[in-house]
Amino acid sequence: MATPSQSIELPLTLHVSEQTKDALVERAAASGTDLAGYLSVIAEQTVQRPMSLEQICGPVYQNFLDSGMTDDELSDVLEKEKHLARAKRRAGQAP
Amino acid sequence: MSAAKRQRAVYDCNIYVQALLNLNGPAGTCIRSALEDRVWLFVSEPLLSEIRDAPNKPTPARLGVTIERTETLIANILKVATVVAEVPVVFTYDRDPDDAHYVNLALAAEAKLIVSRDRDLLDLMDESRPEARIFQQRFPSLRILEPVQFLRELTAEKSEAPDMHPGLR
Repeated sequence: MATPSQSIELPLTLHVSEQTKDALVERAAASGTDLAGYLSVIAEQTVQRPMSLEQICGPVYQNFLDSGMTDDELSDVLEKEKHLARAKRRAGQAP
Repeated sequence: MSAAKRQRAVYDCNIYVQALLNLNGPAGTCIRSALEDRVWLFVSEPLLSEIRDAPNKPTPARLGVTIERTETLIANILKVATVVAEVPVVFTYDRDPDDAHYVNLALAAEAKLIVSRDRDLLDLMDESRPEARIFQQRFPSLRILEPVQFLRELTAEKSEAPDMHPGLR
């Protein structure tokens, strides 16, 4: 993340809803900064290098290995569960 | 890799979920390729909300996929992906209406690839099917590939011309 001495000024106009503006102002105040400072931090974080997949997954991979499932079996069951969830959601939306 | 050289792609939500569970499988390699900037991913709010639903599904939940871990994945994907805010409905698909969004997202993003293991989507590439022939006539530049096929192409591309000017090949 850029330190204050490295940072440049980037004047711009954002187009957001009133609710979004209020929520951002509230979050900025909660984090002890103003709106511009808060959005600058978010912008810096957005372009930082992502974590590795190993860091993201943590212990979940070991749980998968311990399950004894193959990758193909996992794929099949995830597809089945995705379609079930979609069907449930659509049924919930039906008049 | 420069943006111009990266493949523009849309991944099915289950590519993300499967990568969380089996980071060394083909889906994991697809996600790693995006995190390492070798693929230019496009996402949308409906796609992200399908990923967010993972902890509510029996198998991911049983294997330890939590809301926090899913959000960590999404936060990191958002560092490399482009969110498409407006996805016009150009294509509809009776067989699975939710799959149409992936096609529409790819069209809106000018991505030529959708990576999925969803049979409903993959069948759109099966020329023996009348609906697939119509689909391919309408969207001739769009392809839907399984992760393994996609990775094979990605590897071939890399070894063919790794960041090299065409004139120097």
